[in-house]
Amino acid sequence: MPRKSNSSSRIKITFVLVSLCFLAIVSKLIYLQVFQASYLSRQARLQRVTEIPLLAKRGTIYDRNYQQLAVSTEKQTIFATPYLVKKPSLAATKIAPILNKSYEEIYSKLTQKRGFVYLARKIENKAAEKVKALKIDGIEAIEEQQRFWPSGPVACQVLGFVGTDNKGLSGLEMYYDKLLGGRQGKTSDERNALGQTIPGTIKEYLRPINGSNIVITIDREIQYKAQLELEAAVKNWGAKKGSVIVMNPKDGEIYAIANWPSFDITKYSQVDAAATKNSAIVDVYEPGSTLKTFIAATSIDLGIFKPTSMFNLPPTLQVAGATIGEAHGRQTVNYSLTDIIAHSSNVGMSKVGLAVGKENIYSYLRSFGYTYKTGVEFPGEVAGYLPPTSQWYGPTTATVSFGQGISVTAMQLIRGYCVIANGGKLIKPTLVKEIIKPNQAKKITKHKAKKVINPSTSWEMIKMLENVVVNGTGKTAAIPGYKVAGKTGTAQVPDENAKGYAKGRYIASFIGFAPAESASIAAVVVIVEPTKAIYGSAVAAPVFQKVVEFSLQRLKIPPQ
Amino acid sequence: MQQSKTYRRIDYSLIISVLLLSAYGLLLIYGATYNKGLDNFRTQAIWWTLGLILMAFAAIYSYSQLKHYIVIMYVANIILLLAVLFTGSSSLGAQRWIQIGFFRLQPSEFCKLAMILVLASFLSDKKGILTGKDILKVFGLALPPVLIIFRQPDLGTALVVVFITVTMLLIAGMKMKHFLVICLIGLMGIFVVFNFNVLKPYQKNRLLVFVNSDLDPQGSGYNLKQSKIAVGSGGLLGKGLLSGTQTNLSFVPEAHTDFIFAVLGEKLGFFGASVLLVLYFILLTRAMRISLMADNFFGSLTAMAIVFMWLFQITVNIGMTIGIMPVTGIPLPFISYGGSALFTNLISCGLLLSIHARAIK
Repeated sequence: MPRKSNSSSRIKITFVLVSLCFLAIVSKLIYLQVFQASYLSRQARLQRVTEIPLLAKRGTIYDRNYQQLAVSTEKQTIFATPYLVKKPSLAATKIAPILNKSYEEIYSKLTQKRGFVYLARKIENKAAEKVKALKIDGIEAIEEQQRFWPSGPVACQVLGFVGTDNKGLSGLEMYYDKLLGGRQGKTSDERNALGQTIPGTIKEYLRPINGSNIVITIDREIQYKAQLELEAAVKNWGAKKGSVIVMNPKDGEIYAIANWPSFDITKYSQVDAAATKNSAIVDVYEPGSTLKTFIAATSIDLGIFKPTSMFNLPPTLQVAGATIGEAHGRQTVNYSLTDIIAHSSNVGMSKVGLAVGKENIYSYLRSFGYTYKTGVEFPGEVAGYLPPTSQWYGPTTATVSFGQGISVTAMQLIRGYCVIANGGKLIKPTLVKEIIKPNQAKKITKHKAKKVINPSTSWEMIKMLENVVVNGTGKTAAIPGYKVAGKTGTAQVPDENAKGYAKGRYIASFIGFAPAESASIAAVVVIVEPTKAIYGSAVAAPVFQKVVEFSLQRLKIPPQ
Repeated sequence: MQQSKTYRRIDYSLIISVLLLSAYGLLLIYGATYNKGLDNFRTQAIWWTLGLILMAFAAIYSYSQLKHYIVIMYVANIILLLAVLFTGSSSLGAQRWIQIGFFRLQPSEFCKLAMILVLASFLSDKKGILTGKDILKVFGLALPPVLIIFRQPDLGTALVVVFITVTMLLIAGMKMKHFLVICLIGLMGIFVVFNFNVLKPYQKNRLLVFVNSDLDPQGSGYNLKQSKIAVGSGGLLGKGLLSGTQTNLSFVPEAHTDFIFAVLGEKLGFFGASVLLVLYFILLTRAMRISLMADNFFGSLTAMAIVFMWLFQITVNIGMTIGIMPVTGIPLPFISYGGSALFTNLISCGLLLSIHARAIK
């Protein structure tokens, strides 16, 4: 027997060793079973549950006459359940050439430890049939959808894109994604380590719900006409871009929104981002002369002036140290309010504006909708900016009166003109006529229009704006057989780099409605930075004339 | 008189912990295999019963008498191991069994206990003073079975025997300088093994995967990943003995043998694992106590060697399941499916009880 003390110290060392081993095990167990438990449970679920998506058909977008604008068609998608593929290399050799993919790509997908993996999405039926004919275990086809545009490239910016996963990425496709998309269904089952389905474990079956169809207010023909005329004008006048909106001034339904540059949605992989923008709703600009209408309307509505009220107008006017002049120089004249609008006099409008006062101007412009979004159903709408009166300095009251120092969207601007055209009510522009759910039809609830000005003011203004087209700057907008009311605008573009306005850069516009006294059509044409001519009368009014004439005929509005 | 004295010398704590451990093992084998039929469970239950009888025999037998049969034991051991090499049935690319009737004898399991007794016998004669020559003799005894087991190939069990040998030398009073020399030779051995393709490719992979488990999640890392998921997803209380998708759906490989701890972790959670560890702790401390009480150095050495055999197997087996040890095929004592291992462990308990009963006190 060796020394007793020695063996007892060995026992102590052994005891410590045993304790350390157990401590290490317990620590790692606590780490795994306490701290990582939920993560590892998810992993366990992930590797045994196989989910297969079930298609929900995306709804169709129709124009107001039920012409299909965007529909979904079914395409085949090939997927694999890697566990079930017994010879991945052989399968990859066979499939890769049919799918136009590399052997390596397919092989790596087939060897993933997952229950479900896409091999090729939305391929032609012919290729899919070839793959199916191979009858390889674990490789199957499901139907997926591809957006298709039967009417061609019409209202592309309004409709917007749909991504590969059947998700709306812009425009109405995005705004109404939930409605259009419906609810994708799925079925899932549990599989064991060999990939065999375990009987009786269908955990989930979620029935797919098809998307709703949407009837929009766009008229395919008017939209197409607006696109054509706008593109021609922008190109003809060497302009940067432009927008056109055609709508119904009474109920706010939009017949057309065109913007140039535009793009062809049917070839959307090759589109640059700027062309996808719905500028009429998401871009602001200084309205210039087209805003004068509202200052005049305010003065009439408040009973300060009448259309016949006379003004003595010097060539230029000094307001708080700033000199206000006209676009076309002239001698001192005596103009009525009607003349001021007809000739778009800055000096005249300044006098009117100063007489009305900044608080009245602000509150009326607000009522006309210039400080907030119109609420049209479109993602990313912006509101223009009108500074609060506390920030107006010396000449601001005068300059706002002829449309400087305020920014608006084309949509906001035409909405204001609709107030004049429809007898004084602020309507909500809308793009949606009807949403047809799979089972029931649902009408869009009508927006209650707020009164902005008196019907009599509206009437007086219509007369004044008619005069613009008959005698004033808007002659080029005249449509034979119809009375047209409208206003030109030739706004300067603020310089991004310096104070004041950029030299030689203008925004030419025309806004109006017809038939003047019972308007069915209101339209705005904005051409940004034309180079070959700058005036609204020359650049924008003719586009208005052509598009509105077409629209009147299309909507069968009888001539007076 | 004599009789009652003997009864007082029964280590009830040891017996109870061993009974609970082996019953726990049976329960887990049932949980791991019930959905594939009850064959495994029934077979293991038979081994358990037989094993308990063997344990009782070993406990009654005066262990010191074993010293007379050491040579026979050693030679029989070598013959059985060689028999495996030449006639053994193979499973999973390794030859580990000899078919005897319906029993598949796994000599490498018995070899562990045989080598403990052989070395204890040799070392206890040295009275705590070991010369370099003695150490060489010990290695000369240990090397043949180690090489044969390694050749099967069964790296895990070979490592157990090497570990037992070295620890027994230490307990028997090996000098520090000798120990350092052994360590040095060991390190050189590892270097040679890694660079001259002594290891099978899968063994090498397992070691590399242990160092970095993300290395090969499809192949060698798969077992480890699946067993970690099993243990972790069990959480605190587990999913229930008959639930647990990792084992029931065959994600965990070798669920009722080498990876049975993953079954325990998934089905009975941290709580169930803690119960097992407590039982092991009681077992090991009782065995250490018996080593202190032994009436001779042979008994003391044997008891300590058994402690180290179990400690090594417990640590390496659980360690590989939860990712703190490389994956090697070592069964979990009293728990993993397999008759030879269970017999060896129960006979070891019987020896401990025998040493305890004859202790000086």
